[in-house]
Amino acid sequence: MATEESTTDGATRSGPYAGDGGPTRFVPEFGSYHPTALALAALLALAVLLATLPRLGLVTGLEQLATGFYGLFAVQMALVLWWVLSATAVESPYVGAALDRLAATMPAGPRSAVAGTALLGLVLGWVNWALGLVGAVLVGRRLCRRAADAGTPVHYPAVLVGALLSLVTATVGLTSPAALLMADESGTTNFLADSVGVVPLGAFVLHPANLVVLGAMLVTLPAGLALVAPTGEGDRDASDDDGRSGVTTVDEVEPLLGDSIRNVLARTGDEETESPETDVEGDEETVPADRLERSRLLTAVVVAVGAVSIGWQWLLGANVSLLGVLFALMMLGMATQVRPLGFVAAASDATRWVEHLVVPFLLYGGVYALLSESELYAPIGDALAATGLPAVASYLAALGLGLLVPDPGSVWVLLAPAATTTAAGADALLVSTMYGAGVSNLWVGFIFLGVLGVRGFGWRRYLTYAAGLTVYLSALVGGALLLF
Amino acid sequence: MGRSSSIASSNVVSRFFTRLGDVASRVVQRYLPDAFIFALLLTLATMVLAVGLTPKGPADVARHWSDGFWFVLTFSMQSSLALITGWVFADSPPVKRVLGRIANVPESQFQAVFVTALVGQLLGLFHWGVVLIGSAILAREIGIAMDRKDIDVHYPLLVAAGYAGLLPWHQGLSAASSLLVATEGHLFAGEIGVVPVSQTIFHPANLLIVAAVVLTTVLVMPMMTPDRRENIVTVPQSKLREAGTMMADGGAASRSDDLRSSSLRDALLDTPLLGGGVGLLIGAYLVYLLATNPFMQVFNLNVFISFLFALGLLFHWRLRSYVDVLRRAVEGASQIMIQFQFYGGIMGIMAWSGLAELIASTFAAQATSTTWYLFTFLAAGIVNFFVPSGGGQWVVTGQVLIDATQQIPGANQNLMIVAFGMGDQWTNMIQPFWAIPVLSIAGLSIRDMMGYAAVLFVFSGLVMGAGALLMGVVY
Repeated sequence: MATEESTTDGATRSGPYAGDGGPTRFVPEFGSYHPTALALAALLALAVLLATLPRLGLVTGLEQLATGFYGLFAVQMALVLWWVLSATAVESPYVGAALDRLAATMPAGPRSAVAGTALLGLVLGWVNWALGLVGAVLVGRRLCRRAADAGTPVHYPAVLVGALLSLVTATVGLTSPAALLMADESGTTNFLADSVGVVPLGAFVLHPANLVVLGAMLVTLPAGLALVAPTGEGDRDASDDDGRSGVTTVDEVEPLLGDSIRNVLARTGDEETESPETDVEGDEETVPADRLERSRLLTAVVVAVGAVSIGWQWLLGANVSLLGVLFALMMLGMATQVRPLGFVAAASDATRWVEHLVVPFLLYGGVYALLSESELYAPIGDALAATGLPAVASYLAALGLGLLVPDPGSVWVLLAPAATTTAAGADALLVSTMYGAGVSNLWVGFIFLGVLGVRGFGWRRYLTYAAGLTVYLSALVGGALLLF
Repeated sequence: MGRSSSIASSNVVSRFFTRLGDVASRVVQRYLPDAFIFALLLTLATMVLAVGLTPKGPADVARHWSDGFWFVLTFSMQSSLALITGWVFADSPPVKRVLGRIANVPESQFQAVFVTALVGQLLGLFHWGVVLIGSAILAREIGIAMDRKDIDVHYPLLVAAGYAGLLPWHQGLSAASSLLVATEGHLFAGEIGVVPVSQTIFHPANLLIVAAVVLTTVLVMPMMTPDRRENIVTVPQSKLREAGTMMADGGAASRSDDLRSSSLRDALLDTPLLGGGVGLLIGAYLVYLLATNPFMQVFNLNVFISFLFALGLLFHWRLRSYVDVLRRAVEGASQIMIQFQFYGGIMGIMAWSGLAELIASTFAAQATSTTWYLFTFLAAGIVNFFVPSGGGQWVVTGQVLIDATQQIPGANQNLMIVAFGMGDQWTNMIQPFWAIPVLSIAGLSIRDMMGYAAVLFVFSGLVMGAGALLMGVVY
C-alpha cells in the first residue's frame, strides 16, 4: 500500500517505499552523519588554528584565520565558476534532447543498462563533471524506463552508482579543476606559479598513471558493476537492509526524487516535469526590452565572437587553462540556453552547486594561510616523503581530506603546498591528489545527495558499493603510481 | 495669501517630479532590458567603437575582449562575498530586529523614501561596499515594514532611493582615486607625488559639492513618490514570504528537509563553538586591527568582508541558522559572478584598444583651465559607463588626465582628481553594473527602478557639472 511522507524538499509524496522505513532510510541515515561543508570547514579551521598557535602566537594566528583568504579570491572565483558554468552549459533542453537521442541508441537490458550508464558516466565525466553526472543520470534513467516499459527490471541503484563514477573521472579529465589551475601561465589562478611553476594540461591528462587508471576503470568498472547488480526478483541481495528483492526499479524510486533532480529534469526538457522558467522561454513579446531579453540573435552574435576569440587563441597555441575553459563554458552556456534571459535564469539556478564552496572556502583560505605562515607545510611534506611513496601518500591524504572538503579544487589548494615539497613530480602529485579527491566524492553526500534521487538505496547496499569501489580504485591508483 | 501660493507652487513642483518619475520609469520599463542584456549590448557597442575609432582591427578587439574577460575576477569574488556575507548577516535575528525598528520610523510613503535616501547617502559617504548592501537591505526592510502597517509604498522608488546612496561615494571616505593617490608609491607617484586626502576628499570644493549632491538626492527622490494608487508597486510577495518565515521562527528556520539528524550532526550544527566561536575569533582580530591602526588606512573591501563574515557567524550563533539563509544569498550573487566578467571584457577592450585614452585625450584637447574640470567630469562619466570600477577607471585613464592637467596652465591635479571622482560616480545612476547586488537583495529587475535613478542622474549632473565649472572659475 502506498503511503505518504514528507521529503527533503518539503513535498508530500507517495510510493511503495514511503513511510515504510525501507530504502528511504538511506538518505536520513547517510545525511545524519554528514554535517554541512561549512561545519566541517569550521572544525578544520579550529583544529589547524590550535595546531599552529604555538608557532604563530595568538595575534598572528587569528590574523591568518581572519584574512588568509584575501590572497585566493581569484582562485575561489574560478573554482566557483567551474561548478556554475558547467551546470549552466549542460542543464538545457538541447543537451537533454541530445542525451535522449543517445539513450535511444543504447541497449536497455538489466546488465547492459548498468554497464552503459557507467561507461557513459566515466567518459562524459572525463570531459566535464556536469556533462558526466547529469548526462549519465538522465541517460540511465531513460534506459531504466525503457526497460521497465519492456517488462525488464533494471537495478536503478546500480545505474546511479555508474553515474556517480563520473565524479571520479571529472577530477582527472580534460576539465580537472586542479590541473586547469596549474596550467595557468599568467599566475592569476595558479597560486603555486612561483614555487612549483606551470603544469601543462597535456602533461596531466597524458600522464601514464592517469591513462592506465582511466583505461582500467573504463574496462573493468562498467562490466564489474553490471555483474554485481541484481537482475531479477529471485536475485536477493544479502546486504539489503530492508529484506526486499535485490532489484529496485526506477518506477519505485521515481516518486521519491528530490527537487534537485526534478530541477535538472525540468531544465533538460523532461516532458513530465514542469519547467521552472516557462516565462523565459515563452514567445510572448510586449515591449522592445522583452524582445532584447529573448533575442536569439544577440546570443548568437556574442557567442560567435567569443568562439572565434577563444578558438583563435587556442589555435595559436595558447595554453589551455582554467580561465580559457571558463570562457569557453560561458559561451557554451549562452549557446545551449539560447535566449539571454534563459542564460541568466540557468546561471542563477546553477548556484545551488556551489553552496558547499562559497563560504567554506573563506575558512579553507584561513587554513592555507595558517599552515603557510607557520611553515607547517614543510613537515607535512616531509611526512608524505618519509613514506617513500609520496604520490601514494598524497592520494591517501587527498582521499581523507576530501571527506572534509567536498570540492576537489579546494583539496588541491590545501594539500598542494605540502605535497609539492616532496621529490615526486608535480604532474604525478596532481594525478594522485585528484584521484584521491575524486574517490572521496563517492562518500561525500553534499554534492549529489539531492541530485541523484538516491532514496532508492538501502544504506548498507550503498556503503558496500562505495567501499568496494574505494578499495578497488585505491589499489588501482596505488599500483599505477608505483609503476610510473 | 503668500502661504497659500507657496503651498500651491510646492504642489506644482511635487507633481512635476512625480510625473517625471512616472514617465522615466515607463520609458525605462519599455526600453531598458535586464542588466545582463545591457552588458551584452554594451560589449558589442564597445567593440564597434573600438574598431571604428582606434587603429585596432576586429580580430584585435575580439582578443582584447577575451583577454580582459577576467580583469575583474578577484573583484567579482570580493563583491560576491560582500553580498553573500552581508546578506546572511542582515538576515540574522538581531540585525533584523534593529532594521525593523529603523524601518518602523517612517509613517508615510514620502517619509519612507526620504529615510531610505538619507541613510543611503550617509552609507555611501562612508563606503561604497557598505551602501550597496546596507541600503538595499534597509529599503527591503522598510518596504516590508510599510506593508505590515498597510501603508502603500512604491517599492521600486524605495530601492532606487537606497541605490542613490552610491551617488556620492567617489567624493566620500572610500573614494578610490583619492585614496590611491594618497598612498606612498602609487601608480602615478612619479608624476604627481603623494596627494593627501586633505587636498581631495576634504578640500572645501569637494565638501561643498558633495553636500549639494546629498541635498539634491534627499529632495528629488521623495518628490517622485507616485500619487496614484495604480502606479504604486509594493514589495514582492516573495520578499514578504521570506520575511514572514523569519518572523515566525526568529530567523532560525531550518531548511525544509527530512534528514533525521544524528547527534553528531546536531552537535556540529548547533554548537556555538563552530558558529559564534569562529566568528568571535575572527572578530577579535579585526577589532585588534582597527584598534591598533588608523581606521582609513586599514579599512578596505577585504576587511569589510571579514567583518561581515564574523558578524554573520556571531549573530546567527549556530551554523544551522547561518546555513539556512545561505542558499538564498548565494543565488542572489549569481549575476555578480557572471556579469562582472563581461565588464572585465569591456574594460579589456577599452584599455588595450586605446579607446579610454582616446575619450580622455579628446576632452583634454578641447579644454581650458576654466573648463578642464568640467571636461574631466564629463570624460570620466562617459568612460565610467564602460569601466564601472572607479579604481579601474583611474588606472586606465589616470595617465592621460594627469598629462593633460600638467599641460593646461593653472590646472590643479588635486581638483582634477575631485572632478574625475564626480564623473565616475555620476553615471552609476544610469549604469546597471553596481545595481546588480542591490537588485538581488531587493528582488527587483533593473527595469523597475532605473527610471528613478535616471531622473536623479539628470539633476545631480547639473549640480556636479556646475560644481566642476565653478572649480575652474574659482581656483
